[in-house]
Amino acid sequence: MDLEERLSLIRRNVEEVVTEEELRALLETNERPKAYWGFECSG
Amino acid sequence: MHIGMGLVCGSKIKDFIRAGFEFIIFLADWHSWINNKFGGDMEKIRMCGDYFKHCFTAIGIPEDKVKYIWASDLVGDSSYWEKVIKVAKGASLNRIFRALPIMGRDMAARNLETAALLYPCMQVADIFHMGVDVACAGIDQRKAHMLARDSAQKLGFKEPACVHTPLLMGLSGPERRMEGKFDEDPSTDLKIGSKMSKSIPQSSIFVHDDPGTISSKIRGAYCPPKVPDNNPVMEIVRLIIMPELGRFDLERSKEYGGPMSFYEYSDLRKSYSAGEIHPLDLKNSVSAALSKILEPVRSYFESNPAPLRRMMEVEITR
Repeated sequence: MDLEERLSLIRRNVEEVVTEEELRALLETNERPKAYWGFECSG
Repeated sequence: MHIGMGLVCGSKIKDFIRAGFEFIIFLADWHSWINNKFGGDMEKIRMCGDYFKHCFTAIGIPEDKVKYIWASDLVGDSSYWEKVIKVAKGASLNRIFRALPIMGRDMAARNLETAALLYPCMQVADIFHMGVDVACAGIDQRKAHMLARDSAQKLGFKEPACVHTPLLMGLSGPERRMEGKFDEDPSTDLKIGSKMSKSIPQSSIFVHDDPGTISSKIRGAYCPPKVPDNNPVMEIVRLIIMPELGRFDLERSKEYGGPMSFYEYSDLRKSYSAGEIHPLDLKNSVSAALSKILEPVRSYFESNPAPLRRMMEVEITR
């Protein structure tokens, strides 16, 4: 998957990316960056 | 787990995995304790975290594609608490109060337990301690992430990029279901106040609802004709059905124009705004598509009923 495909996957349907430039730079330099989503356990 | 979490968050997590990310699903058991979820009963909170893992697996995020970390896994390390305290020392009390809507608390709330003030500091420390490059969450978590970015610059930690997803609206539409004020911006404030919430079952679709329940809930949903925005049924197409299936099939009888398929949400939006699609046809087609998307979840819990049954028992007694 090329850079533009990866970027468009991450960006689709999102409310905002902070910042677009940082995300692009990250994907340009890091093949396997680390992302997280935290959830409160509340059913 | 409702479809806002299971399918809006779930499909974004799948996007990240497909884009080559290492993805951590962080189960915030200590944060839930602070926020008095399940009356602060840690055993029930952990049971719920375990149920979440089963739901995500059933939705198509297998355990070997994602890493689960519990807050409990971090808190044994004193260097974690060092980060919490650094964040707390670097932020004013006002700033922390302003971040409290991340816990579903009113911005002006002051009659809180003191432990609530730890919550935003821990959420920021979690990001630093796990060394994440991208913090992902619903737009209601924005204030915690902005605090993380400012704290990172001030304290010399890696500054996370952030991806914020929309909040899926409850089926009863854009109306305030939660008391209080959650954001300075009125439009964001309304989005947070209208989001799907499991505490109002008729307004929420759960990932394990059967097709009959799904269609009866959708039939009762707010869905004004010709109005595509702030319309929860249209939002389900935009945020769930299109990303999951890549298309939306409108099923209707010949006398009303016959079936139609949409491959772009913008085309559906145009037709709906022009009054070419009746809300009832839209609703029936949305119910059918959702039932199809959720079929694997139902069959997963049919062959593996224990986690769901335990969760239901806990919900009834709380």
